[in-house]
Amino acid sequence: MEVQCVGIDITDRVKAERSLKESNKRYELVSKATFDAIWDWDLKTGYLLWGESFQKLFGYVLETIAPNIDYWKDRIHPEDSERVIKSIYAAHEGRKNNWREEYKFKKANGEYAYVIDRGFIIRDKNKKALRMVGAMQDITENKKLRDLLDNASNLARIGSYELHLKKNSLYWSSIIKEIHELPQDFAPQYKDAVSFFKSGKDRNAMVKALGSAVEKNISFELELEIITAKGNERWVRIIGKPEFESGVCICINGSFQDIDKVKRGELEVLKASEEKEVILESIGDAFFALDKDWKVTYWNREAEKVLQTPKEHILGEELIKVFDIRNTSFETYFKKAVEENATQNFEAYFEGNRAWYEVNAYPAPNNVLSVYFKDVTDRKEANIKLLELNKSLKGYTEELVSANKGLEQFSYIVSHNLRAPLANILGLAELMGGEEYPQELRQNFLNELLNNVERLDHVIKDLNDILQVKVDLNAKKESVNLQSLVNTVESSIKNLMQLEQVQILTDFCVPEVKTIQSYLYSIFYNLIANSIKYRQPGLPPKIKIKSEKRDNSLIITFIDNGLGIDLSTKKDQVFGLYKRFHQHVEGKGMGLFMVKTQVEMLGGKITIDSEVNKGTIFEIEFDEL
Amino acid sequence: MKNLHHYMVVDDDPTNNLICEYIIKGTDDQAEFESFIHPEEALKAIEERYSQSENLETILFLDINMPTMTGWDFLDVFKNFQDQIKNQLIIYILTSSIESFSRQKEQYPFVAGFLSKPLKKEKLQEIFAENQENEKNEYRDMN
Repeated sequence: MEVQCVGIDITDRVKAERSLKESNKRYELVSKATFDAIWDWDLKTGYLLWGESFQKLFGYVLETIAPNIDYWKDRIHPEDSERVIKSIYAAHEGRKNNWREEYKFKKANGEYAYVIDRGFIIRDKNKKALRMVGAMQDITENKKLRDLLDNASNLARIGSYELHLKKNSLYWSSIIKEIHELPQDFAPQYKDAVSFFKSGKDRNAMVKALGSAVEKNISFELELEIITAKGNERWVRIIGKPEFESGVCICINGSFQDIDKVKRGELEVLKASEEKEVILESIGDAFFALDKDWKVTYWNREAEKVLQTPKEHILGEELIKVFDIRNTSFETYFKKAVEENATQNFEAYFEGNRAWYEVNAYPAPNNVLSVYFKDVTDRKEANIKLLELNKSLKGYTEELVSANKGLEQFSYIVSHNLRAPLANILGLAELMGGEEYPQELRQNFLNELLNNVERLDHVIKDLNDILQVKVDLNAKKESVNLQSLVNTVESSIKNLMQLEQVQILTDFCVPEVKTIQSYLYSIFYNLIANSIKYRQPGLPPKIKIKSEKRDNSLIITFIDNGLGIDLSTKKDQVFGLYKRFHQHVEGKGMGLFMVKTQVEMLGGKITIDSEVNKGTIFEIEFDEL
Repeated sequence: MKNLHHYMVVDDDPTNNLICEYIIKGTDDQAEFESFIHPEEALKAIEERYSQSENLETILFLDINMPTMTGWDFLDVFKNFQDQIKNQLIIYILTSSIESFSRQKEQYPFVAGFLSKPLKKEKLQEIFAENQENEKNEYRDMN
């Protein structure tokens, strides 16, 4: 609208007033239709006309209102007065035609109303302001609501902002300033929409989000770090919603929340759990955790590897359903750990995986169990091998000991049985080399000499036999039928058996033995020969041979009806080399020594029980069948 | 002067007994020699004979390794004989063994000496000389 006024007289002025009133009528409709107080200010005359709503909004009676700017100025809150008045005059001088201010305006009842005042400047062709029309909007209710919101926001440390693209302005609520540790009078600049964000990833994210909002109308919600005016890092959540007008983004508003404490707490938790995870994942041990129902709640990578089960397959499952550890040491120890609330350390073999595990089970509150373990199969196998090696070493040692015993026996042979005939030969040689003896005596000496040379030869042959036994150590074990073994022995001494009417009875409950055939033959032969040799005069030898199983051992028993031996004095010597207990028979005293040696070489034991003139019982026990 | 011409050998080996007999006889013209193959018989003879005599000093050569009764067994029986018997016998162990028998020397201190087979003239002369010079007090000391 444009008003041109000419004339200086009062008539003109009245005319002008009238015309203004008329033109104002055009506003009236608008005025009535809105709650805004419309005003029209003639800058040349200083005349200011208020619309009807002014009365409604602020309680002043229209007729009492002075139609000039001072009336308005006087009612602006002193806090806002200077700023607002300065700004309105500045607007006249400037180039822009729009003016806007928010301020508190005194009402008729003395209260202040919050208002938004918007004005439009009409200029002449020289751009000089001629007239200004505007509208005051009472935003007290809004403001109160906003304050309420601000208070609530304060508690939640949520502030609001408005980034006005058209105006290149940024509004921050006081809480946002607080969050930024800025004074309340800080006036945020457009650039501050991003400037406080931590440079790098955070700021870039903000810039990008704003870009998307402006260009593609995409809302955002980000959690980023800012650096406050005081240089502190602070986590904030910023939510933004772009507003578009005819395809162009005019502003973005939203909330800005301090989530630092929450975030730091969260981060700490995350960090702690990450640390825990890192620890649990990086330890060389496999680890899993069970809840009170023995469901798997944790399963680390090493556990996946060691037990070849990906965690996806076992997490949340009952351990027992995936690994059947029922009735194993694992179950026992896990239960014990929980029941006794005591750490259990154990090694156990898991049949399902055919592996040995070293396990540490730590009970935790609420019947939770943490289990660390590693596969120790290799070590265990090495141990077993070591044990075996040890065993065979022990075997070698035993062999050495028995070889040593053999040596003892050897020294015995040398000292007694080798040296005895030798001493005799030496003695006889000395006698024969000396005095003259009668021919008969000389012949006697000579016979004795030959006799002793023969004895010497026998001993050497025996020695060879004994040494032969030791050499045969590595002979292979084979299945030997005991009855055929007895038959073989019988046929080899057929003549003697017939002559002495020997009777051999057998009762082999265990018919076959895995052993070294030649040894067992020698044992049977010597024991049978021993029984025949030491038979009771006038009583045909009767030998009973039995085999039976007793506590995983094989027992072979020889029972005869022979002379027997008085064990009360001779027990230690029975199996000694060249021990003889009877005068009437030619015995070399080697048989039982050989028997004992060979039984021991087969890993067995031989014991004797005997009663004079009743008979003798030899019992041989082999551990492994 | 003691009458030292009685000799006894206890050994299951007849060859040794034969050698001893001729070595002894070849050394001592007046030797009275007796040998036993079974020690049990020897003990029986000693107990009977020496309880009847007093100065029948006899040198006894005893073998160790015998099947039914060892020389040690023999000594265990012998040491329980009455002093009268024990005092008349001077016992030497005569063995083919080359062991030192240190333990047995302690166990049977009344044994006069340990000899290695075969018995030789020189050794016999030493023993003869030894027993001419020294009074034998062992059995008296023992009790």
